[in-house]
Amino acid sequence: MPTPTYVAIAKTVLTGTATYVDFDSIPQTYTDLLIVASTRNDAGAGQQSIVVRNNKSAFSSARGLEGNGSAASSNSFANQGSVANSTFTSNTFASSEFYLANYTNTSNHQTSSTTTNENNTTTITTGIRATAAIDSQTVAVTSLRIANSVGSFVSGSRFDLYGIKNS
Amino acid sequence: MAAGATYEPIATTTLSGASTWTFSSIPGTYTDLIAIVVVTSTTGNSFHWRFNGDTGNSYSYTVLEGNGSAASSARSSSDTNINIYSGVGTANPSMFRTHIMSYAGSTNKTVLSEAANDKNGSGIVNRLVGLWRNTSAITSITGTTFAGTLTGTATLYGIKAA
Repeated sequence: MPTPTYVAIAKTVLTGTATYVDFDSIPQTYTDLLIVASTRNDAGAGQQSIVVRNNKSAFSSARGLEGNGSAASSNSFANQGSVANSTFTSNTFASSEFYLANYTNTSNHQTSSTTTNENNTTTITTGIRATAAIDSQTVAVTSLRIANSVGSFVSGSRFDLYGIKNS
Repeated sequence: MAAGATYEPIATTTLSGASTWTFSSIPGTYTDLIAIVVVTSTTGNSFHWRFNGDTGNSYSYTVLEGNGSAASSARSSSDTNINIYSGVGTANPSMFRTHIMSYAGSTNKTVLSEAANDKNGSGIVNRLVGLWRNTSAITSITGTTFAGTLTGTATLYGIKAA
């Protein structure tokens, strides 16, 4: 059987609220990392976001691209993905994917993310958001923190971490 | 019976001042292909994809991108390649993920691509859809810079449906 190259490293499913979720002691044996997240938070209406912090530190810079069904826009986001907030229909979660390439390198790390956040109505957070974000770290990424810009993730939010190996 | 691996590396190339590279002899045993390219450029220019060495006007693409202050969209028809469009960082590595659907099938080939090219204060994020109007199975993929050279890694993965 071939050696697995797309491996589930860790999984967190919240049973209560949490302001952030950490993945610690990430093995340095993969080439890239992928986080798949299904998220909802307890904040009210507004532009809530989530951010992935490499080694639990803020990234340096990000470009965002958004479409909400009526317009497209671009911003220098302080965050990355969007999140379903408490005004959304019950049991509705946003879906996000964060791809971090060459995380063991000791050069700046680029993360590409896409979030879809649909609620059968137009709000400030619904639609599609894509981001490119870079850190200024010169060390390998050994931990990740997925945090809210405001509020806490609610029960049922899910975070899966995968490792991808190129050989 | 345990399932076999469904996401496998086919080839990895280390680029060191390269202006072109090719993934060749791609087996037709997967469902889709994904190329991951993480590179810096000597000039900041983009690179493009071609399939099976085809240099004809067989390609088209539409891109949606943002630079941190404005969103825009562009397209090209009957082009000679699929331009990943965002440029490449000169100091910071840029990342590109290109998904090629049903590459071994007998339909024209569709590509979805994403670019993460934040340059720490400027840069581009984009999403792109491309088409190669050819019904042949893809057996080779070539990346080529528009100018300058690239340094970094390029990996091709195969994805198998159940």
